[in-house]
Amino acid sequence: MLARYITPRIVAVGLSGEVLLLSALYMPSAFGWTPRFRVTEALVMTVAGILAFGIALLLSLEVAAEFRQARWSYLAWMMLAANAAISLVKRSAGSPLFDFVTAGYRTSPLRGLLDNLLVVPANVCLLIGLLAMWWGYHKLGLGFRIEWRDRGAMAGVAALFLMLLLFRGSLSQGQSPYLISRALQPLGLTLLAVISTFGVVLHRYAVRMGDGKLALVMRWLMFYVLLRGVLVLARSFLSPGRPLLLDSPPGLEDWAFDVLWQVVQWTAAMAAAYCAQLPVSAAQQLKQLRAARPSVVRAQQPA
Amino acid sequence: MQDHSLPRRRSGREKSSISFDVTSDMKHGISELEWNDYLDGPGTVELRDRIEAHMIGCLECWQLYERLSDATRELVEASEEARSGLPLEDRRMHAMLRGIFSRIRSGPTKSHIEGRLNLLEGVLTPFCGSQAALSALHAAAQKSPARSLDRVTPDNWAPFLENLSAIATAMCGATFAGLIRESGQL
Repeated sequence: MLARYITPRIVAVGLSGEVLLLSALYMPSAFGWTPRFRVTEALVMTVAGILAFGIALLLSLEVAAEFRQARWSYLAWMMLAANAAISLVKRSAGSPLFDFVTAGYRTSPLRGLLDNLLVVPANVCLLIGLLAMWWGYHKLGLGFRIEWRDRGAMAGVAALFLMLLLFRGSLSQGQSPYLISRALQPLGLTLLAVISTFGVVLHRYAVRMGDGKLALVMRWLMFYVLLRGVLVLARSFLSPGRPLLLDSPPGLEDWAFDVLWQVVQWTAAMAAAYCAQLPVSAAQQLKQLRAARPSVVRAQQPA
Repeated sequence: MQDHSLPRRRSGREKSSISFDVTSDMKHGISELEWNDYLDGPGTVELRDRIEAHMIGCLECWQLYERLSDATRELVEASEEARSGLPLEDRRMHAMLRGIFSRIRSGPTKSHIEGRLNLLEGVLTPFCGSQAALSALHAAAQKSPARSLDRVTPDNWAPFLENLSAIATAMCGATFAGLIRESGQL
């Protein structure tokens, strides 16, 4: 089992390691002590992104295999694995390293097209996964109901995205020569809005699950789902004049957004790592139970 | 005329008043030990002939014999009465033991079920949280023939556990469901 080796601690080391490394590369240049190590930064971001989504993909597949007997949970984690796989390809195709090969690649219509061709199916997979998870829990009849205040919060999140789509001047692909790119970008944003509303549902599940291990899975999934929406909304409101992308172009964006988008990738890996630990912990307890059972039987037998 | 008939059965209080006037070692050539042997039966033929030959002509010894034999008979009756009381105690003890063993053989009791439910809740809680663990137990009971958690008995335990395993599978996977299944074995 891969989960025995790739634990949440390992993923946390990866996440904090990347943030620290990017900080160590950026800070000296921010203070004017050194030039900006853009190639190294791009390399770190690309490798870390591939690593994070790679971990998320492999662990999600492992988790899905564990849920093979539970149809909806299986579908949910297979869809999350598909989301990680597509995001991995998107991360590779959108690597800032290409900027050093092809000038202006990151803001080019071609990259926009590739991005949207991948973002939409990735978001569709994520949405199906979240819907399957919600329906699976709903069918269990555990009383995980979405309350009125949750619905209010979901409506609030949806309204924010609606405002963004309706009142913002133009999207980054609004002037793209590719029709499919122009059509897919609003669709991708709409999907992102719907997915972000599910962050509220995941939060409710996490609250209901209290201090259980499953609550951690829900919380990290919630971070993954919400953080993307929050970053898109934040950049839109903070920099309304700039074209809207689903991730931040380095030429336009400040370093913090870059780092936060990197964190998003690790949150997906973290959710999968915590969920993959469930069978590992269960197997350990099962082993202890089986080891203790013969001694119990012996103790019950008459001397 | 002297009454040689055996006295009627006396009450318990009268029993305590029986006294043997055989304090001396030897009376009319018959010792206390010889009287005992004669009355209890193990005496020899020679002893029996000697005592009986003497009693035919000795009223005092005859009366002594009557008193002793009467007392011996009463002692035997009393011991039989006491013995007849003891088997009743034995039967009671046997019945109690049979109850214990039949309970052991018949399987888990209500308290055993409660203990097992607590154990299952203890296994579920670290994974699903306390609230969800309790919800899972209630949901499993509701879908089982028990219909509610407080009606779960050894008779409907198997479908309850199966439902709980299905919930555990959907929440935390097949390995965790296996843990629930094995922890819930009665």
